[in-house]
Amino acid sequence: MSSETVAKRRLSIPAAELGPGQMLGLRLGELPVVVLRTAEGELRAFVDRCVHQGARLSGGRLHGSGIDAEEVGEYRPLEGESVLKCPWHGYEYDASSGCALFDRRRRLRKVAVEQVDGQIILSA
Amino acid sequence: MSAAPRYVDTDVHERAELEDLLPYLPSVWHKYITEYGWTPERMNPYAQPTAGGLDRADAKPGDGRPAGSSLELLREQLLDEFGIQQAILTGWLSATALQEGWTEFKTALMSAYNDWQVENWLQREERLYGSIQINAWDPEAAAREIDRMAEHPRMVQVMLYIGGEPFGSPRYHPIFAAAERHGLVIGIHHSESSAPALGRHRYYAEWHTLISQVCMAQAVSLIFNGVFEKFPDLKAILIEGGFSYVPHLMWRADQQWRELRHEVPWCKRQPSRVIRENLRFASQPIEEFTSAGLLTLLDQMGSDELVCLSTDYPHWDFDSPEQSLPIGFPDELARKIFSENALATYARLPAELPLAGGARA
Repeated sequence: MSSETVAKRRLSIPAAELGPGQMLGLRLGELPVVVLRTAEGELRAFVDRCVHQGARLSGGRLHGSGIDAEEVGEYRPLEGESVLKCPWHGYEYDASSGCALFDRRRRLRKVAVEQVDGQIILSA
Repeated sequence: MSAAPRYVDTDVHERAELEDLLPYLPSVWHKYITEYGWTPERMNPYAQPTAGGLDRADAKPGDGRPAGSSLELLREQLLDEFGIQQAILTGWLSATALQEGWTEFKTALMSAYNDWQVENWLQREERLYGSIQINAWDPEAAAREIDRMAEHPRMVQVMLYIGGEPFGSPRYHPIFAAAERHGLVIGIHHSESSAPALGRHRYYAEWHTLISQVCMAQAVSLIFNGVFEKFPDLKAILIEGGFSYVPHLMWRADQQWRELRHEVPWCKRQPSRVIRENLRFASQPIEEFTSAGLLTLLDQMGSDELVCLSTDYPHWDFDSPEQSLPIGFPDELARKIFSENALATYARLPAELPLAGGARA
């Protein structure tokens, strides 16, 4: 990505490159990072490795809503709860917290991210 | 593991589109594809609700073609990414898994597929080995196709994709005879046509959970119909069904054999012994085991020589060779699963790798 500027364990990209519902796979030094903006506009970054077999999550899907149900046969969208889905086995994570939806004790490692003056800045 | 392990991947799906096969198919059949729109029937009523459908979401070439259709991407994401030295193609299109009927067309289509596979995959990448695709609904023609394709030195297997028929029936003996004659392994693989014991349940999650049922069904059929008594040198591998069901299968079949052997008097060996001597199991889709749990399972199987690494690339439930075995699993046993068991199973798979070219020594 030509617009990246890379320092040691620090990286910035133009904020315009990441709209709501989008994600990017980057490297922070040797560390693979997925940075995403949820449909609600939250900015998050995680180590880009699924807790299962290490797939790069940035090659998966970022859905704008999850699905829940209280009754058999119900499909109730969870608006405003973006879901990050692994490209391989489909492990799903809450895109805000990084917690696996099937077991919140299993979670992605967060990477510090902030938006300053039109730049998204990642650091670790 | 100190040095990079040697990997033999026993399940890699190359993918054709039907139009790709036309140059290899006698022209009399072309119009059934190009004008009348024949396609393989789809039996499951569900979508595959994963990130990429049937395939890994990150394995699609990006040109509109399906995952598994690009040799270049397969090299990048599988062979080079993990340092896999030998990988066995297991195909996409199998007349055996489809419903019976129109045998002439489907037998011709399988021959075209085999020629396409050789020219577009085996001749272009020497780390790849092939599987002969057949139409088992016509066993005599299938045996002739096995004889024809066995002349290619990198064909190592004959595929039997599971539809609705148990393969132990004597009607399939010509296929087993041909495979044994050429030292080819029988690869048995489920398909969308494989319904579990109670038919098609309501959800894909149920169907996918129960794939092991059809694997067990085929193992039971082969054992109790005496296939491995008639063809004692034949090896079969059950692919893409995992292997955690094997101890149950062994215990259960042994008990029935002890109690009911007069009904199947041709079964001379205890089923668990037949399994250890003639059957193998591809590792994928592997469950999330602890090391202790996997060691217990292998102990219950009574052999550490039955499980062979498979990734199932490019399908959605791909298993990473580096991540599929649990942390702390002994290196010696990992080597068996990664390569040694496959090399002992596939008689036509060279144990020695070429020193130059695409394959790595």
